[in-house]
Amino acid sequence: MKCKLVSKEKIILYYNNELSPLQNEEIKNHIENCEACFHLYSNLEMTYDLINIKDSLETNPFLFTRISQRLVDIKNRENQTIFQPIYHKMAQALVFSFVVIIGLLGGILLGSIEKPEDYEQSSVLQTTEFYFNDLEQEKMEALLINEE
Amino acid sequence: MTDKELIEGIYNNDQSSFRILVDKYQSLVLNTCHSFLHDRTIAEDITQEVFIEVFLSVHKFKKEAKLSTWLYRVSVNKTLNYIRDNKKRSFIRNIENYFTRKEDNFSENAICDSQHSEDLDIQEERIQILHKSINALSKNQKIAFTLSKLENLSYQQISEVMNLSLSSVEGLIHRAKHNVQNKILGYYEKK
Repeated sequence: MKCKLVSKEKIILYYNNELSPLQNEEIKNHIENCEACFHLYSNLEMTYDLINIKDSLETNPFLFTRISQRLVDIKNRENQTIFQPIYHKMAQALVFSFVVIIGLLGGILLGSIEKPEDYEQSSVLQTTEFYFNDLEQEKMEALLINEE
Repeated sequence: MTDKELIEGIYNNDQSSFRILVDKYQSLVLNTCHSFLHDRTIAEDITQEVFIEVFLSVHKFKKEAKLSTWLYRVSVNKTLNYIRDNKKRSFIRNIENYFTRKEDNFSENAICDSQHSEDLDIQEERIQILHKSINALSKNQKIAFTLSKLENLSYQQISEVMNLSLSSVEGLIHRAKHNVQNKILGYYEKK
């Protein structure tokens, strides 16, 4: 149920005592007689007043110990992160240079392998094998002509 | 031991000075974080973060400044950062849930909601409405309002923490109060 006579803003101003005495009296009378406005006002009052209830939390006796431990962890992590990149980069450089050296040595070794003595002969043999078709080629004109 | 001596001690890596500072200001930091979060466990975690930050950046602290002001500032920043990050995380979680267990969640949520509303008594419900209304405020309004109403800081102290003029703080708190009350009324109007 909504009241069309008094706005929310007016109720807020009334609650905060920010209205003129005349307006204050008007709204007060209205709230006392309007069920919807009374419902809104009383709920606002009861909810907003909870702000004044302060529950101070108990302190933790182990807080300093925990903070000290975390500070030690942070320092250890910092030390690790200072040296880690150097180790990482050094390891990377070593691995890459090792791979390059292996590659170069492999290439040199392959290049220096001596040719077998019968290398020439075998190549000749291989080439002769390619002349497999010794048939006499026919003339194109003769292909589709029936022999008499 | 004065605040100045404590800061000097921490600057010189004196553990006992740091212990005294933690014991002296633990309540202030914890309650400030809790005012924004309304969750003790998370507030304790952030309290640890605050003191770690204090220990690590003590060299940046201006000696003429007030230690409590600095602690309030660090606490508010850490807490608001947590809320911001948590919003992002919960948004991503919601998307994941939507795609993975859409139907299950709908039914589970419906059961949970009905049980939840049954279990909550009126007082708890009012507290929830109040917290939601405060959380809906803009960042600056929320800081000023929370420090004023929940932490009982003076306008002068809030202006120092927020680095704003006194009149700006007054305006922020006034608008925040009206916005919170408007939200509360809006909730009961719909009911």
